[in-house]
Order: sequence, then structure tokens, then C-alpha cells
Amino acid sequence: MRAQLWFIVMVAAAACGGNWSNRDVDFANALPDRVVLKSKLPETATSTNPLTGVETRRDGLVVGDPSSAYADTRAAQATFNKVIDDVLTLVEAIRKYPPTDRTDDSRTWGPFADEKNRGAEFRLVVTQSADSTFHWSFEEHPANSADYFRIVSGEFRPTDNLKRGQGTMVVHVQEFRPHLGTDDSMKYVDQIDIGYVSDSYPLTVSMLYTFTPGNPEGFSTISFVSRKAEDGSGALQFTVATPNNPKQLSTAYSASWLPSGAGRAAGVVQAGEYAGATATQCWSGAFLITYYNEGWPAGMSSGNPADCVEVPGF
Amino acid sequence: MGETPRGAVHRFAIFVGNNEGGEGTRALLYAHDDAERLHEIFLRLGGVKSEDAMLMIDKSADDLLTALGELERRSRDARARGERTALVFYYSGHAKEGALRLGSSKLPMESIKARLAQGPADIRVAVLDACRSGSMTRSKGVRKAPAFEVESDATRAAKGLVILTSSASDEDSQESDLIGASYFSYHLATGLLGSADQNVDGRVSLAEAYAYAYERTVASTADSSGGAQHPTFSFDLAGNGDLMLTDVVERREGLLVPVSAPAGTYFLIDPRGVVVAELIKTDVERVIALPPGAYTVKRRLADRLRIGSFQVRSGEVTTLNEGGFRDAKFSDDPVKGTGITSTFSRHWSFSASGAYQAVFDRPTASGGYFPSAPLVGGEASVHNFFGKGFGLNVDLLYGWTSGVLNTRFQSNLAYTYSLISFGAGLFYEWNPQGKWVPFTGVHLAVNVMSRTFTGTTLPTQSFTTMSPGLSGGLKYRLSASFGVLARARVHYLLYNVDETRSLGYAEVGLLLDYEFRE
Repeated sequence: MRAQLWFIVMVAAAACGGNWSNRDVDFANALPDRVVLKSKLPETATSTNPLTGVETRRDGLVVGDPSSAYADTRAAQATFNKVIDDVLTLVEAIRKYPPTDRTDDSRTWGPFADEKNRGAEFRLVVTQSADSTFHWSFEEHPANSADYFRIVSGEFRPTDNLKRGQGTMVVHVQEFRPHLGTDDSMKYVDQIDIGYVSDSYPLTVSMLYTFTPGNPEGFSTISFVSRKAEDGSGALQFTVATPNNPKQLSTAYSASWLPSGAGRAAGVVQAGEYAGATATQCWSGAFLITYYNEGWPAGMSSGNPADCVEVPGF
Repeated sequence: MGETPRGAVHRFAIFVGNNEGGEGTRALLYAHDDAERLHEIFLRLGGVKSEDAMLMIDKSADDLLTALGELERRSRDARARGERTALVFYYSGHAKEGALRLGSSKLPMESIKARLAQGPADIRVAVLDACRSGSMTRSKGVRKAPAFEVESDATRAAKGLVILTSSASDEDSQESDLIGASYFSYHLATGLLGSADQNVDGRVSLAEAYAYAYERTVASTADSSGGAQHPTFSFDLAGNGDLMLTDVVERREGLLVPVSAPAGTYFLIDPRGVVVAELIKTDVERVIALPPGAYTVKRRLADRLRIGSFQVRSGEVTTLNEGGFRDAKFSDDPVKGTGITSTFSRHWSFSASGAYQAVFDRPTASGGYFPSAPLVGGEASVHNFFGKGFGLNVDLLYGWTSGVLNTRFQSNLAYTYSLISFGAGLFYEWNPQGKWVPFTGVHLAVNVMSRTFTGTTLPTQSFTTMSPGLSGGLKYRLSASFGVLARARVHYLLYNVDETRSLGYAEVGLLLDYEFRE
């Protein structure tokens, strides 16, 4: 009986502890949240069909046609959100677990074995500096070295609380490519810089691709800027490159939309035969063109400019 | 000595036991056991057929009178058939202000005495084990007899009423936790098993039983806190004679203590550790009529114990063999500690509880770690585990709540909280047989706490800790089995993740308790 009691006491004593930590909440929440950062353009079932964009416009767009500008915006948004997803999915997955190690000013998750690279290990380290800025780094070391290379790193400075603040993060493509490789979409990307401001509306996220100098695609940078208002309206500025269209090789778009989905986009042809030309397209909540205008000589126009929605603040 | 041949008497018997005496009385512990023990002895050794005996536990006065009326009817019928009859009336319970108290009902002693005095049986023997029961023998119509002048040389068979009481009219009748019975009933019972067989004829007469019970009760209570208790004996008999109560040799089943056995006091203990009989061995052979079973026998010497064991088989008399005894230290007494007490009164209880746990910490909305929460659960307790009043309990509680957490950088983070608490405690009850039972103790809980944040991907957080504490409270007995407890606990809680902090909590609860008594 006495032995049994001691056994119970020892087991209970060994079980003491846990991950009950208010500070963990601070460190974990200092990491960016995909839901906050991702661009959100209203969609319906009918809007998921790909629209033909430039080719359609070439045949002449009229009021009532499916909006090619909306389709381009959605395509750009998908690219934008994919980067956010790729960068943060694993970070968020790790964040679902308690930290492995705690110090007064840091939390470390891992190292964990990288199942795709035998012997390699990855970890997530979040530190807090004296000025209350949180710095984080998602990094890995290869099997043959204890030195970690960065995959993604960032910092965040809360201005009110962890739901509000300003942060940056960098995807270190050039640094991790030798170890992890990349797919074709990142083949000539060296680095992606992302900045976000969440302490006031509209929430703003900017994304800048930096390409390998002299890459065969001829890109140097591509940028996105996403903004979201509290009511669900938003905007996305992006550049669409169409190298197979010699008249319109590159177009800069500035799209904005209302919570209903109705929106407008203005495009400026930046390169190509029509360089300098502008076009405006507005769409309804059903994502059909309500107004279309090509602002160059003999350009086409359809509908009434008064049918274009106004998106306040954007 | 004139006697009534036991076999020639048709015997009827009623045994009444009631621990409860209603308002103004404190619950007895052993009245049930007393009645059951005497019932068993009279069936086995007293010539009472089971169909002629009634065992009435926790019955009311009306129930008692109804049962008595039935036995009177049967007795009357037997007499009509020409049989000689006897009625034994045994009562163990409360008596107060001239009345037997059966739970909330009352039965005036005068009325039961008158009923017995006029009863149809040739001999009516009333045995009352109750406080101030001696007032019954002091009353008109019954002559009180000196303790040792019962036996008579008369040859005529007696007819009339004999009353034995456990105490004088101004005395309390005491129960003993040491023997797990009332002193009087215990000694009367052990006397009927053969210890009282003064003339060694193998039978115990009414006079022998009384003489033995008187002597042993006075001796046992002389040093008790309640003072010496003096049983009384009175009779109103037409004619003379003695009534044989038990025949300890007829069944030829029990223990024979031979002449050669050393003199002294022998305690016969059953497998539960309960002393079922004691025997003062002199220079004569003795037979104790025990039912079949395994027993331990203990003889106390000045510096040690002599302990042996024996088996009584059905229809056999086992002779005690002193050669098989061994010496033992007093600490190895087979009647452990308080002896019968711990065995007899040890019992389980189960409780359903509702409580509120208040953590000694800031609210989580102000940066605290743990929220306060309501709890529900249950527990099991074993009372008198380490002796009178000392018990153990184990409990399981579940708590839940929801709230918001504010940290240095985070505000209004909603969470749901749950707590599972396993606990064990040692407690002490004062006045454990009373209506109001204060208690205090120490408690050790293993708390498993968990919080899940809503609307985020943050992991569920948990914390497990052992938490020592103190407890105290008050129990109120609603009945013999049901009680309500109000209890408070104060616990220490060590938190050591973000920092090392000594926290604590108070727990205030109500419990509905059910006791399982043997």
C-alpha cells in the first residue's frame, strides 16, 4: 500500500508542468496571420470560370460581357495569396504547437526533422528586443552542417496590441534555393519582401519580387500592394506581364472593389505597341462589364461612365 | 434450583434496534448490531424458531406494537393448545423522558411495561438497553431485586414478568467504540454464548446471564467517561424458578476451553477483527458456542499477548490448544488500535459535490494565469480508516468556464477553460456519530487545467500540478445515511512556466453525502 502511494505521488509529481503561458501567446501572435495578410476579392460560383482577358478585349468588349479586368485581378490575387500561403502555412502549422524552448525574451519551436531532407532540421525562433519589436526566423540546417540558413524571416512591431502593428518579412529564396530547390515560379526570384501595416484601416500589404539580375525573362521586380478596408472593400495594385502580346507586353493595374464584389480597374500599358495607353473597366456584383473604355485613338468604349462604381477610400 | 426446562417452553422473541431517537438525541452507532446479535444468538442457542422471532430494525412504535400484538396472538394460541410459553422482548435504542424513542416516534415505557405485564405468555422477559431504562424497573408493579439474588430454590415454574435494563434510572447506557456495541448488550451476548455459565452445566440461565452482564458491564464502564453503568433486574413472578435462555452444548458446536488451559481472560476474534466473545477462564472447563468459522484467540498477559487461532466446523466442538499459541507484542494485537471500533464503524460514503474554485490571482483579463470556475464532481470516503474519526477520501472534480485573456501585447483573446482535479485527502471528524459533524483535514489534488483559444490557431494550453491544501467543514445528517456537507478548501498552487509564482485557490462547496453502514 505504501509503495503504491509513493508510486502515485511520483507519477503525479512527474506530470507537473505544461505549456500554460501568457507570454507564449505574445510570441506566437507576433507571427503574421495569413487571414490578415491575404487579399480577399468577393467571388461567386460564376466568377470561378476563367475569363479570357486580353483576347476577349481584342474582339471587342461590351457591357454585359464577363469582366476580363475582374479575372485579371483574381489571377493576380491568386499569385499574391499563394506566396502568403507558401510562406506562412508551415509557420502557422508550427505555431499550433507549444514552443520547445523558452527564455525570457525568446521562444523556439524545434528543431524538427525535415522529412524531405534526411538529416536536415528546421526551427522557428522568435525573439523580442528591448524596444518590444519581435523578430522571427524560420530556418533550417542541412544534414552536413549545423549552420542554419534562412527560409523566411521577419519582424513585427506592435503599436496597440498583437492584432495591430507593422511588420515585414523576407522570403530568402536565393539563400535556401541551393538546399531546398524551388519550383519554376521561383526559378529566377532571389527574394520576396513583404511589408504589412495592420494598425489602421485599410490593412495594407505590399509585396516586392526581386529577380536574379540578367534572368532570361527580363524581369527585375514585380510588386503588389493589397489593401483591405474594415467593411470588406479592398484594392490590389499589380502588374500583369503578357510577353506574347506585342501590343501590350505589360500592363499596370489598379483594381478596387466594394464588399458586394462590384469594382473597377484602371490599366496602363507600360510596354508594347500601346505603351502609355490607358483602359478602364468596371464590373457589377455579377462580375459583368458595366462600362468599358479604351483611352487611345480609335479605342473602343461601351456603356455609361456613370455605371462605374465608386470605391471610397481607394 | 427449580428451572423451567427450555425444551418445554414455546418461545417467542422480538428484537428491536433503532439508532435514531428523534429530536434532541444523538444517533447511536450500534443499536442495530446489538439487536441483530441477540437475534442470532436466540435463534441459534435460545430455542427460538425463526418463525417465532421478529427482528425490527429502524421500525416505528406503531410497527413495534403491531409486531408485539402478533406474537401475543401466537402465544395465546399456543397456550390454548396447552403449551407453556415465553416471550423475550429486547430493545436497543434511545429512551428519553420516560419513553422509548424509535426514530421520530415514541413509546411510553409505562405502556410497554403494562402491555408486557398483561401479556398472554407465561413468562415475559424484557431486556431494555437504553439510557435511564432503569426507570422501568423502578416503577410500580415490579419489584426490584438485588443484582445477585435472582436464583431461587423454588420448584414451581415461574410465571410473570422479568425486566432487565442496561442502566439505572439516572444513568446513561453507553456504547463503546472499542467493542463496537453497547456495553450491556455486548456482555449479555457474550454471556449467552457460554461465558456466563457459572455452574458449568452447559446452559445459561436468565440469572446467570444477568449476573454476568451486570458484573462485566460495571467493570467495563467503571473507568469510562460516562461513569459506571449499573444494569438492573426486576421481576414480578408468581411462583419461582429460573428460565434457561441458551443451551451452549446442545448443538455441540463451538470452542471448548479445557481445564488445562491457563486461567485468564480470552478474547475470541472473528476474521473481521471483531471480538465476538470473551471468556474469563478459571479452573473449570468452558464451552463457548460459536458459529462455524475461523477465529483468532487472544490472551493478555502482563508483558505480552498470547495469540492463537482455531477453526469451528459445523457440528463440531474445537478444543483450544494452548500449545499452538505464540507470543506477540502488544503492537501486534489482532484487534488493531481501537480494536472493534475501526472495523465496526469503518464504512464508505459517496458524495456528489458542487463547488466554486476561486484562484488567488489577477483576473485573466488583467494578465492573470488561471480563472476561477465552478466545479462539479464526486468523491468516495472511507471513515474511521485509521481509527475513530480519521478517514480517507478520493475525489474527482470537473470545472469549466470561459473568459478573455489580456497580455502585454494581446487584448480580448477569448478562451474556454476546463479543469479536471483528482484529489485524495486525510480528514478527521469530530463527533462522527452526531447530527452535526465538524471535520478538518489535509488534501492533495492533481489539477489538470486546459484552455483553448477561440478564433485563433494558437495551441491549446495545459498545466498540470500537484496542489496541497487544507480543508474543513461541517456535515449535517439528514438521516442515518444521507447528509449535507459544507466544505471549504485552501490550496497552494505553484506556477512555473512564464515565471515561478506561488498562487493558490480556495474552493467552497456543498456535498450531498450517502453513507454505507454495515
